[in-house]
Amino acid sequence: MLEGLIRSITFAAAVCGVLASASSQAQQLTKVRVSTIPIIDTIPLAAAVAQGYFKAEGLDVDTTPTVGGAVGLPALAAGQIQIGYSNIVSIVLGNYEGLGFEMIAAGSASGDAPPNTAALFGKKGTDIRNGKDLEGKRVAVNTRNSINWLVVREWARLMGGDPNRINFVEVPFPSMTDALRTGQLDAGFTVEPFLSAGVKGGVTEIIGWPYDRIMKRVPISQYAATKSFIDANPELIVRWVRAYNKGIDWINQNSGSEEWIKLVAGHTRMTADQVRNIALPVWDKTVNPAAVEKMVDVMRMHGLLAGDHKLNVGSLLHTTATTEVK
Amino acid sequence: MPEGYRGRWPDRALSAAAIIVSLGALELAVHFGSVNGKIIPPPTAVLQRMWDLVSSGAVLPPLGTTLYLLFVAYVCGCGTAILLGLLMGRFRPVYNLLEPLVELLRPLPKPALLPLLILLLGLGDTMKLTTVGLAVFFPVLINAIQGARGVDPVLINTARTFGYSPLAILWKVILPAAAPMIFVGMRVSLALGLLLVVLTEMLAGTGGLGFLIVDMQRSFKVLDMYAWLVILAVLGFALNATFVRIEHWAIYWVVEVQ
Amino acid sequence: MHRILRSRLSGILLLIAIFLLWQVAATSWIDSPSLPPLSAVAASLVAGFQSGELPDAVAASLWAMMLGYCLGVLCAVAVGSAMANIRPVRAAFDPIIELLRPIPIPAIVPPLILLFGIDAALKIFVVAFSSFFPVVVNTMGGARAVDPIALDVGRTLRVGRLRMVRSIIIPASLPYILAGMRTSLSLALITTITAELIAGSAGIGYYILAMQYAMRTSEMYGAILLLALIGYLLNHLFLAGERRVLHWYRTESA
Repeated sequence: MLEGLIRSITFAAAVCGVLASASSQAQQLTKVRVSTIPIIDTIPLAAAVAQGYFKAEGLDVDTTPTVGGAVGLPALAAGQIQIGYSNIVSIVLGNYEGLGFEMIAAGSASGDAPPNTAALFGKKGTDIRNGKDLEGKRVAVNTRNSINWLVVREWARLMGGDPNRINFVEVPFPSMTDALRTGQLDAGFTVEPFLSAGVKGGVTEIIGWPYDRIMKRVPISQYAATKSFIDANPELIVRWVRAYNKGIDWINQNSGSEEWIKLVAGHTRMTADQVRNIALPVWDKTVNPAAVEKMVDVMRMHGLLAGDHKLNVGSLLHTTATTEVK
Repeated sequence: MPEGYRGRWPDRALSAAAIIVSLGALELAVHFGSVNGKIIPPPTAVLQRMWDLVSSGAVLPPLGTTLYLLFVAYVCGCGTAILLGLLMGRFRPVYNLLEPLVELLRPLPKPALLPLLILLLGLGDTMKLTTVGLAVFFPVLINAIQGARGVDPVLINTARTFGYSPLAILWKVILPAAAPMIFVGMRVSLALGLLLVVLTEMLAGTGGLGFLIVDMQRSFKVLDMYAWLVILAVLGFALNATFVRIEHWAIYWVVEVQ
Repeated sequence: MHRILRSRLSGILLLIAIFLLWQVAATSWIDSPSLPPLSAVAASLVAGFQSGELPDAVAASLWAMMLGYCLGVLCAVAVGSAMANIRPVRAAFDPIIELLRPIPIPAIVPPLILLFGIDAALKIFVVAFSSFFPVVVNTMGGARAVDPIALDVGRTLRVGRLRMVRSIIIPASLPYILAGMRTSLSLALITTITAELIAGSAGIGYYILAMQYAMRTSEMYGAILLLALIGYLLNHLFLAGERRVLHWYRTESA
């Protein structure tokens, strides 16, 4: 009896196996795993998936949410993820340390004028006005050695202070407002929606706009892949970026519409009202090499690229990132 | 079945050889490219980096931060757990009252409390000490209860006949008798406490060895990451060895007094 | 059963009182997101189950945990038995084990992410790693606990090697091995949550972390209570299974 049972189970499994392979054959979609963060900056990716642009290019994109970009890139290095969304600093650091990361598409950038999507803020009534005032104070960033940490330091330097005298503390974005209110922190660099929520609630006020102070259109984040993956799959990368760029188009063209708001709210877990009131980042379809160069210089100035070998900025950018893929 | 540990010298040599061969194999694998040196650096490079960190003194501040947090939370956690455990083990009504609550909290993996405590208590020392203290508390409590219950009633009755007050009985009879059991719990708590100290530093980072490991990983400074990891491993090893030594001394003293 | 309930009555009443106090305080005089009412916590649990988010998270955690646990335990029993019986093996493995054992688990996660990524593979390896040590130590201890006289008798009676293992060695060392497995089980759950908090992309640990970032305390409390329940059930199931296995072996070998 047991024998009969085993035989029928094996038969059923074989049938299922044949059916499954047949169905995937019929679909002919290449699986691509992309790590992302559920924030507004990655909304073009969500739009491209929702609108079926990737499927149209023959790609089955599997997005893996992580709580931070710093979690996705190590998985990229391990080969478990093919494309990772991350802030520029982490990508450059990874490339510098020999992990072969290359930018294949633009993520988000800051706008041409404030309000930016992120800012330096403090408790309401704070007397911090410039870089000198920040010295000796406790300033929150969500992770050190990231773009947030870097731009606060650069802002402090440009505003007449010594960034090395700032006491940086790692605090998750949602906890910053509360920590400011209770006096555990003196200032923080935060993103939407926490920025607007804190200001609106009368708890915090904005001290400065570091992105804007550094330059217009800071290339905040990009999508990266490893050199070995790009070399092995150049055409797949082109198709992916093409579909992704269509996602950017959709986001820019439908900005503010009900469908757009619904997508953003679902993706970021914000309420529709919050979505309507926040400042938005800028989504370009290419990465500006000069802007990347400038950021690399800033990184070097603040000791992030402290090793003894130079960084070849050209090795950072793949063609799909610099020339628009139509 | 090993019949005693005869011939220690050949065994010791084999042990040393095993370690050297494993590390040597890894070194060669990285050297010849079968292992990506950017992800697993060669052991010699890691040792070199460790030496740099130690000799320059850079190892001291994070070491101090980690040890401080562990020590304070451990002492407070063990202290309260032993006290409560002895009371619960000795006095039935106390046990009946608190045991369901303990049974509810015990199976919860304490790391799961960390995000909640961060949200409630912020990122300061209060949160860190609470988290680690909670983890240290339970194993010692359980063992203190068991140890107190297992005390020979004859001892207790003898003490009572000699006119010892209940408090004196607790301190002079039950505590020493339960001590071996309590130490078993304290050993588990040491490992668990260190686990939570490192985890807390990783998630609520302001310093310490755990924070550095994560920080180096995020900056992709793989060599530094491994160097700090080995330093932490050495710390764990040293803490355990010290604990065993203290345990032997304390138990010996207890047996002598008895 | 009734006797146990009656003796713990005061404790159970205490629990009920605490829950009632929580509900009353959270709905009337404490108005803080830090202490959501118990009803809100329950509601979030129901919503989580209905949406499928919680079952997915639980499944992701438990699946990786059980795979890692079984892998670690099997390796530990194999290595431990080899170490107990073959001296060179013991001499070779002992220092490696003694050096690796005190490493706190969270510390090995960041390096392993670079090797295994952030998914189930990472969790399985880390859980297997942590499950290994308590069981290997106990397996060796268990082997030592075998009565040498029983072994001699077996040898004199020319009992086959396999039969000797089955009837003498395993029943004697089984209680020790099972005790080690019990320790490893609770450690496995702790390790799974730890790995998810550091590297997470799925599982209950990641769920709690995501809720922290979204500042949804009701969901966090709900997940914590759920996790406590899971830990409790795992432990009890193991104890029940342990009792049965020991009983069966005892009657078998007799």
